[in-house]
Amino acid sequence: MTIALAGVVGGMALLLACLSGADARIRRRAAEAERLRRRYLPRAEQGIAGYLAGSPDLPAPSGAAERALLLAVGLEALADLRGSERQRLAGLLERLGYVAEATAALRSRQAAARRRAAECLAVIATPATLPGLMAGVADGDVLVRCACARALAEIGGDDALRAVTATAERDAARAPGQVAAIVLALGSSHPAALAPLLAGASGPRLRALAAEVAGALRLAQHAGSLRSLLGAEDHLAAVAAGGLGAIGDIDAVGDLAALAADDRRSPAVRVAAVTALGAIGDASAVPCLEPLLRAPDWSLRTAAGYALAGLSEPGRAALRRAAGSERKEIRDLAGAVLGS
Amino acid sequence: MIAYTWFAACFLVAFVVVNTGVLALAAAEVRRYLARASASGLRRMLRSPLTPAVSIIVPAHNEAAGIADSVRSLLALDYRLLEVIVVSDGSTDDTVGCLVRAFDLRPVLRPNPPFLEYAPIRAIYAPRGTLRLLVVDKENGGKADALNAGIAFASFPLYCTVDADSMLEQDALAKTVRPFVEDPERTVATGGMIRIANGCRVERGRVVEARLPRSRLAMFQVVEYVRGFFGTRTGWSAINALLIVSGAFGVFRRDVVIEAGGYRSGSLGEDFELVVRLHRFCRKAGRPYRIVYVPDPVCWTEAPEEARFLKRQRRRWYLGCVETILIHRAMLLNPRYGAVGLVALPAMALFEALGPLVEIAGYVIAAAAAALGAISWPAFALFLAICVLYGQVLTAGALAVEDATPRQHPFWEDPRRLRRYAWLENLGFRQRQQLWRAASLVQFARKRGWGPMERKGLSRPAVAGAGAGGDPPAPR
Amino acid sequence: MKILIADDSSTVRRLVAARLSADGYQVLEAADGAEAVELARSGRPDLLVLDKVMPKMDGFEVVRALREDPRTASVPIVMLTERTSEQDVLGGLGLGVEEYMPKPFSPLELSLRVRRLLARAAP
Repeated sequence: MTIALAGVVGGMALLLACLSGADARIRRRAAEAERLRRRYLPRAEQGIAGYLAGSPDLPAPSGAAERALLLAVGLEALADLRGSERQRLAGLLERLGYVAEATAALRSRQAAARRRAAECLAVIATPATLPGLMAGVADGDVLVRCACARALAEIGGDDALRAVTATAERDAARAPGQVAAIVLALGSSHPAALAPLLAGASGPRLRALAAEVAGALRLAQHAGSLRSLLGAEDHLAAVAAGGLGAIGDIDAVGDLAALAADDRRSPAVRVAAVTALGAIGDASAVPCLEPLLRAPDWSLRTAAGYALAGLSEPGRAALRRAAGSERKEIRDLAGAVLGS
Repeated sequence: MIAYTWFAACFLVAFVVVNTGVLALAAAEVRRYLARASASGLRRMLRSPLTPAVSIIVPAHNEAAGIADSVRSLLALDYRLLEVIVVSDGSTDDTVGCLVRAFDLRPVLRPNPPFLEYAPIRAIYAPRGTLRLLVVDKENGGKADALNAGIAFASFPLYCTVDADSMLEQDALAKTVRPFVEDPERTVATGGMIRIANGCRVERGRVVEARLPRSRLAMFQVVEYVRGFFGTRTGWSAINALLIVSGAFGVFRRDVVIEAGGYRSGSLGEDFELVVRLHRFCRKAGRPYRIVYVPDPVCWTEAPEEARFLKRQRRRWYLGCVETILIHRAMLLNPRYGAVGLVALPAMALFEALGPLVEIAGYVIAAAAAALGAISWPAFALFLAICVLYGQVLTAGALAVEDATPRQHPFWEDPRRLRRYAWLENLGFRQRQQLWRAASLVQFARKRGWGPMERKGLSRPAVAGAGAGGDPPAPR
Repeated sequence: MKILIADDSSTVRRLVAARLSADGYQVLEAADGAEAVELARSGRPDLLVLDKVMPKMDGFEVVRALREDPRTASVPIVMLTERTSEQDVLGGLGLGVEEYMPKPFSPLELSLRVRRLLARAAP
């Protein structure tokens, strides 16, 4: 018994020593990285900034660690830059061999290395990154695929956009956040490419995402597609309504009013329609919204109150009428909205 | 006595198996997290118009001293779109007045949302300008009640709870929201790292320089937090069995929480109870869900430096834990609730709720055995050594996992000092805590009701796995 | 002409400083809001380029502090920020920020705007 216990004590002491050793190694490595940052980071930043401000060349990094740090600084600067300076810096990184390196690293066996490479290519996103990115969308790792697809969505071109849609479709259920970023990139750089997604060519998830992006980016060219989605299932219809509100599409007032008044639909969708009517701000929605002040659902009634406040004078007149209502909750609601 | 020895041995083995497993899971999870999380991803998320807006809810009871600074620093967080809702829970000091003056607020009318139950509203204030701030002044009803009022008035799909005396790092909110962006349908709650602010340099409600506390009592708590967060929460989160998202800092999906009934009024540990209920609610409904612990966001919180305040805090955490386990006892060992029902909750019941009793019984029996001369000293000493060493293993493991995680204030803590306190902890600090716990359990069992209690106090980042192994003797 | 750039990202500070120095301005740098206020008071810059999100004090707090101080009340301010939500833009303009530049940005464009603002501010 005693011997067994002593064995356990010895084992634990050994484990403790291993863990402490591991911790010390981790700290040492981090301290080394910190020393490198102290020494080289200012020079790297100064070099890149100076290059962009017109000095002809950049002091070359010595050694792999400095090279990696220079790339990190370059990628960070790229994320903050746009226009010709962005292109100039991307070109510099390309010339320094980082694109070729990352393209090769996409064949690494380690997923983490491939992810870093994909992220690097995706941020640089020059035409020279295209072969790597096109290979990356076929990767086995979902993060690699999505990073590449996001960059392709920015760069564009028929083949690239086909690959983007295919990746988005493939991973929409597995990595919804990543795919949302892809669709957002697509909407920002190539808004017209959202049309097939909005038409439902690639399944309901992508359709909803495309609707969300079209609304968030206020892409008026897609207002027609969004209007036709108002009759779809609840989530999609609510997203479409929100988008039409953000776009401020006056042509949608009639459809939105019909949706808001439809008591077969869920309150959540009707609230979205009502809020959109308020955001559009067209007074022709007053006759639809005024009766909704008496809706039994609190959210619907309150949304109608705030929406009416957005419809200039006719809306406020409706609220003043409601302020004289015989029902206390309606009086209170109208009073609160008028007072804010 | 022999029966106890066997029981204690089994207890210890179970403790070691579960905690080692959780620590291993934690290490794997941090690796996975580091491989996923990239700085550019965070920036992209902050720029994306698709990133959900967040309502920050700050329950406050007599917080006049620091509330204006807190709100100012919350409004300055690095996030795309947020609103701050301060709920004054029947404050008797000038909490509301301070806010009104600092932010030029005026009383406004708002329709009372009928979603959750909360004590009557006295008044609501909003600023004249474009600042997104709402101050809800209501009758006293306890922290759960204040949080429910905050949820009801929140206008965004996610809400974040922050204690009035806690301070967030500027990117903490964004990092904690990230799981909701990555997996919007399934993620229902997320929590992040909480650290002890004692000793840190604080300016305008923000930690500007991280330092270890000078007070011994606070140092012990630093050790507990490191172990509790890195060793425990990260590991449980990996198998979707995270039971605690502390009230001091957590993000939740508003619609799901409303559906599940909000915070339980009058609960001693409303944050723990809510998370257990969310597990129950989602598993019962068969809805796929995730409750995630994100290893690196930081919320700084003030730890009690006086024994009587610490005692009160620990009593509340402990009874909150016991109460929640009793409320949800139907989940215990119920395969329907998966890893939560089969492992996490029973582990909590065994090690956290019953741990103090087992440990104290151990001391008593060891003393009795020694008095009767029926103790085998070598075996006893070895048993003690195992318990103490295992505590060190957990601390060292948690420290290693923590050091591998990138942080805002890297390597500010002196590992040797931390380790020294992890050893010292065994000489009185934890025995005293276990005594407090056992005493409050006896009190609780006697009353079996919980009458009036201190409603609001410091945060409640209950520290699980704080070495509940018990130091049972081995009489022969 | 002296310009103060306050941003917690050293990369952004370098990018802006290099461009502005190349265009003949003298540049002061601050890494957080508190330092920005201090330097604005002691260094008497002719114009400020401010980030919104910074440690210690955020951009809006800095603007408020500077506008309250008679010595710095009239210094033109350009906000350089990640955020482009309407709430932020309105908040900044309401406090008396002269220009808004969203990140990602172009240092060249920033320099041109700076020149225009300084020309307008000069008597």
